[in-house]
Amino acid sequence: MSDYKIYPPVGIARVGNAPEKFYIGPEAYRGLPINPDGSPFTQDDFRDEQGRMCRQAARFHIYHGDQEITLDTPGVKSITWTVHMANKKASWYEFATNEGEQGYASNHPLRNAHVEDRHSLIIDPGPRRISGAYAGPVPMDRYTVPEDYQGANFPEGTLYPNRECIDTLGELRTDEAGRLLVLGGLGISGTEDENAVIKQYANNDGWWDDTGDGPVRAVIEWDDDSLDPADPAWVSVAPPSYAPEIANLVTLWDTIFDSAVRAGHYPQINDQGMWQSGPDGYKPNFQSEIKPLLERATTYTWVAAIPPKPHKFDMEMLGAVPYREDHYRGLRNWILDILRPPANENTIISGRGGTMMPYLAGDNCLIDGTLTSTYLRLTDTQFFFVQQWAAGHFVNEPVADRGPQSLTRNILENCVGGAFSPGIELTWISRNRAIYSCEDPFRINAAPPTYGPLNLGFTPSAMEPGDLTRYMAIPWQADFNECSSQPIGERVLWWWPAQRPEFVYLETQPEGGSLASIPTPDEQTGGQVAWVGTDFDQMRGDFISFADDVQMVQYWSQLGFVMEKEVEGERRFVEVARTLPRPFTPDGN
Amino acid sequence: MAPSETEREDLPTGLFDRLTRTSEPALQDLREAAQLALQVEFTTIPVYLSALYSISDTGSHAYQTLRSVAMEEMFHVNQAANIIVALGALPKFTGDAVPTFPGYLPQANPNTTPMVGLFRASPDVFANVFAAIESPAQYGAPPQGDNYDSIAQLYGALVDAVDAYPGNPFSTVDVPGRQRTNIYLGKFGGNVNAVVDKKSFYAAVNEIVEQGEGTVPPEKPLVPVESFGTYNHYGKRTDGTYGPILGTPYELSHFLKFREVSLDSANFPATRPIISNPDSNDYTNQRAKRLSDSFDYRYSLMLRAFEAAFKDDSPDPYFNVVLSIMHRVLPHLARALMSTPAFADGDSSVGPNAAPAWRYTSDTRLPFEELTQALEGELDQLSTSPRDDALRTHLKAAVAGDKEILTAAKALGL
Repeated sequence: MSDYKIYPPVGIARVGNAPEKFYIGPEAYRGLPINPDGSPFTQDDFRDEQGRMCRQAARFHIYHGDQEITLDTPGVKSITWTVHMANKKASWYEFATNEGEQGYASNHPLRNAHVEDRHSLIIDPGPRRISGAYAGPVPMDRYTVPEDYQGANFPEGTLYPNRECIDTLGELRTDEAGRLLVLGGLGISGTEDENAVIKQYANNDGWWDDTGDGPVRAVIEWDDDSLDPADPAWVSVAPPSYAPEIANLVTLWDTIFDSAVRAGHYPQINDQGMWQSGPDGYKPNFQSEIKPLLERATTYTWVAAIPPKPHKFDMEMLGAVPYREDHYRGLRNWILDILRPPANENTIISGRGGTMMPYLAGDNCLIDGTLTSTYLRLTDTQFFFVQQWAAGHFVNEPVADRGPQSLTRNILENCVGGAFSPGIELTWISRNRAIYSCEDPFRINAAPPTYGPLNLGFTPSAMEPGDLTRYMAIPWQADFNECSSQPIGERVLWWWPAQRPEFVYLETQPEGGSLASIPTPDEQTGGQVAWVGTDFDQMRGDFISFADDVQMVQYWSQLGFVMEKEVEGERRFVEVARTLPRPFTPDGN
Repeated sequence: MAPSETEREDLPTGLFDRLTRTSEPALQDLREAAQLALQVEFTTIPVYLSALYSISDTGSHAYQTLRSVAMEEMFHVNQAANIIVALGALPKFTGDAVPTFPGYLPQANPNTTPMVGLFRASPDVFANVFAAIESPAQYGAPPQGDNYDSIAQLYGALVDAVDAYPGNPFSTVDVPGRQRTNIYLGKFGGNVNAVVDKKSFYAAVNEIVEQGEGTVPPEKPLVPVESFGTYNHYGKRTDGTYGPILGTPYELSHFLKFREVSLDSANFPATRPIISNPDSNDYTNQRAKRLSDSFDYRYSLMLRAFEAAFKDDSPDPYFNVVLSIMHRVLPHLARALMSTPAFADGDSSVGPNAAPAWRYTSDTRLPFEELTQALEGELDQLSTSPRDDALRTHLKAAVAGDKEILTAAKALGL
């Protein structure tokens, strides 16, 4: 353990197909991305001048306590960053919902099981180093592998359907103060098979994508030539965030935090397995621990066909701390009672007859058996907070900025914390406590730097490049396309509308097109349209997705973003920066 | 010129006849007409809820369908109350305004409307009572307030009466009540809106009527042409799937919902063996008697609090007392009753079991605290036999609900 730590302990970069222009990932909860030059972010900044989607860089900071250390800090001579990313998806086990979370069974199939040289299934550019201000780009590509690195590997040849090559997993840059910026791949996915068929949402032999992950290290060199290494962080590359200002009900922060709470890192909440409930127990803060949950439910209505009425909340009533009299207990209980409690992952209708929330698919609604977990629920910790709040044991206080802790929380709150089927950024590996440091609940145990080749197995105490993202779908576009709506029984549930919009509102009515054939004033002013898909029949394969996952590989970079704007005098979350025509008709192949 | 005294005496005696045939309908008559509409909606709720709680599988289609209708009826009651407040009166939910069972819908034509009562759910009850309550008006049926054949006719008559009123009878200032737009919770259809003028009144009535009996089919295309829009609620759609509903034509009316359940009799869920149209005087099981009284006390308390929730000058008991009793006490007590044999030494799985009578009592002598203690005592007396498990679970939940409102109920002097 060092006194210096890199934050966030887990940073998320996102793919884009613009080779140069990029932006920095939001560092505020539900915030917009950050322009590298500091100018306010507008809808034009999602794409470059040729209409290509910008990559989202993960920015890393070094802190000493609450004090940020940069090149401008007195005494600092240099900061040298080392990043080693890899993509191990093709070499890992098949993803089959929650099978493997407690360790894989001996009969669990491998991806590309016929390939004997498993190292040839890893994309590994080796480590890269960068220092100084405004440095880079330092590419993590096939052409600049360090001479002493043994395990470098990239897929050979042209990949279909887009006839592109995966030559890089991204690049490193630094900003004006020497903070690290990690950019991921260009969103290239493909297979050497010219037919380019995607058969399944998560496992497709012969396919590659250019996401990846790996440790981020830094060494501070002081003016007196002494060196201080900082505790390493991790960078992971994910699909684009198409609705950055809308958060998932269960965020990645909630999930990791919950695992840490239950492991005893926050005894004021859970002490040796005992929840600190009741009037003398833990009092959640309405502002930071309850209100965001309600707001997330509200903002979902902008990105899915979710009725706005039951998702509107009177925060004044709900945040009123009982004093002598409790005027709103009935209302708080009403909300508690519709939330799906722990151990009710397979219950859609509660004993009292209400549809339980969230109305979202769960970790395993796909494979029958003993591990079914059909519907998403709040984490244990989130649910505990809501229980305490409903009983009246809560406070309502402004939220203090806790420096790097807040940065961690903000960044991970913009990511998905469930359902993990497999997910958007990371899957259930994120709640496996064995991969985290015992002292620092959000920091992943990084294996010592290696000269390669990388390990093919899983050592939670020594996590290697590629060990976080390898569980995710290959290519990511397959899962991203299919996991829009999910028929379960007679109902159709949603997956991750906050990351993968399902229905969107338009800023202005498109001119012409077939929408004009159903002209009524209501629709033109307030109608929701499918983000992707034909939208009419819930039972159709292309209800709110492309008919073929390969089309997501082809068109993902042209889809629109959802952004809060003032439209007709109202604040609305509307679709912007879409380059794909609407209505969209694929070329017929 | 105002009608002379003698002319007034010659006028028809029916409320709605007076309203539409006099040149100057009295505001008081309009208020009474709106209160009648409220009571009609109110009457359906115990009927639907008794049948609802008698269904043991809460996830069944019949349960879910009936629940969605019962919730929308509560919204209709709220909307009718807003109309009354806008007319300058206070909605009444107590005393004579409380429905008694069995009987007919208030002022309905007994020859053409169903006998409504508190029944154990069955396909026949869905067909002959529920669907009959929500029957669409026959084509060309005139608006009719007195002795009406369908609820739609009653609302037609109310609309005519408002039409006939010179000027705007609605007001939001200097009225003793407060309109409520925030008490209708959940995913179900419709919105409760404030009534401020004739236009908002028409919109409110239209929504109630459309939800109940549906729109007249010839106005609507057979194939839905609306694209998905801003979703109003979730439910069974006319395209056969369950999902988001924009409104008609995707939405099934109450009438069609009931019809659908009644026709699928093979899949009708199991029900608790309750007595229909219960009268606790018939019970020989003393516990059933006591629980029945407990239910009525709390129901009456809720009604008084609900009435107070529309009074402008009093503290608002809705979000603690009313909602808690409605949501956390009565459903459990109802199911507790339905798990209690009506007759001594009975078997609750065979029945006949007791059921809530939904009687109003103005008796407020017993403080709420003692009511709760009595219920706790009931819990203590239960045998440890697994036979009483269901009853114990429901009673425990009801007691827990009671305790949440103890202080609030005391503070309100309810």
